[in-house]
Amino acid sequence: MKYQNAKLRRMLAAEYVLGTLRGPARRRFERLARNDAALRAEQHFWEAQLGRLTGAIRPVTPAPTVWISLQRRIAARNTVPLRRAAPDQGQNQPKPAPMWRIWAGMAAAAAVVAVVMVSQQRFTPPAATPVAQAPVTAAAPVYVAQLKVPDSTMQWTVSLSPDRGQLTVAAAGDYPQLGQHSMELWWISPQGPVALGLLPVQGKGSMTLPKELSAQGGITLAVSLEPQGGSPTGKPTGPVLTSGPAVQAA
Amino acid sequence: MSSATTEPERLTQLLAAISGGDQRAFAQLYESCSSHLFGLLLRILQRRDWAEEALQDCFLKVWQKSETYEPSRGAPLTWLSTIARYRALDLLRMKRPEVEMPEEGEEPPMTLADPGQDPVDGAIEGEGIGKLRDCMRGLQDEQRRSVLLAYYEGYTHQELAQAMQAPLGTVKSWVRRGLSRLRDCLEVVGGSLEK
Repeated sequence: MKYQNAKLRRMLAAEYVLGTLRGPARRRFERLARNDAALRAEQHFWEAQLGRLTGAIRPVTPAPTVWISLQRRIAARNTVPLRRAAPDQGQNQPKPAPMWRIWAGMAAAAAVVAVVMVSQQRFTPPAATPVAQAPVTAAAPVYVAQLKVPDSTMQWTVSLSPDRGQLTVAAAGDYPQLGQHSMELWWISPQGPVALGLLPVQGKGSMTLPKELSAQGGITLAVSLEPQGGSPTGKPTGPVLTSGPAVQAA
Repeated sequence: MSSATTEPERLTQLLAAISGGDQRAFAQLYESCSSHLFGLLLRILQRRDWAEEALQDCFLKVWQKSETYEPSRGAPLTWLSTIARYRALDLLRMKRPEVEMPEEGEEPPMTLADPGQDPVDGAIEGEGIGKLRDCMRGLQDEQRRSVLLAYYEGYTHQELAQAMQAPLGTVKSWVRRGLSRLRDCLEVVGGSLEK
């Protein structure tokens, strides 16, 4: 067979890794390599060598939506449960992650820390945090979030007071790709995203918060790109530009 | 966004943790490596939506198969790049024949605004590739250019021929001779292969 020819085998492995081996020939090489350690060694040699070339490519931060979809796909496949249940819990049917957790996962794209936060919310009853509740003063707590759009200078400083039902936002930077679109702010509630209002591109703005917005379990905000004037459906329709938690400031 | 490191030791630890189902390690790996892989995928696929799909496919595979990582396949980031590139090449094969029009209701793909960087020139400047760089320099210009274009742009022989304005047969032999020379050089300078 042709594949016994050492020189040809080497070249096939090299062209496989380089990517010029395409179509049925590529599949054929994969089948052969599966049962041929020498061929695989040759393949791995080239992967290790040529793989170094990728260091020269400029990194680009993917949109937070990619992480959300990824989590959703993992949950849907159930290949490995997202959160492995304790081995002996009786109910070992893996369930897809509930929507709120997927949305809450958006924060993870902005900061891995958020993953920890969400896990803690999941298992820590709100009542078990007396420290945060101890100073019962008349002042309503204020939460702040810094939302920055990757690959641009656009960012907002958001401060909100759930007790007063008020949110103020200050914009900075620029988002030249905006065109004929609006950027909409969302609160990621346990039931899904809730529209808060359109974000200013410059200067300041204020919004009225929905009554059901509570700080219990943490507040996660997200910004999506929408048709001018905001989402026509009441739910995000465009890509999520950024997201992040609002943390208590006062 | 934090400047997460891509040190091989740390990534190897994360991969080991992921094979045990550690979701937090997975998030950390994503945080550390996704921008590198996304940059690579954007360059090959030239469409943001395809690159996003490929990035997800790549990490899905890592989530399922992180235990298949072996140091013989290079540093962890190199291995991840390999997975990403292979996925991109498969996607190109599946998708390129399609009419490249976004479907109704779909966001038009963002265009790439990164014309300033020529990977063929930039490649040799990358870090930690001393041996490879030296061997690349030993190739004839056309050989080096065709190998690098194939690697960075995911070009087929036909696309290479078009890009380099040369006959198909000529381009094929540039690639083969380039790879063959590279192989000999890498082996002499210290590549270790059992066969």
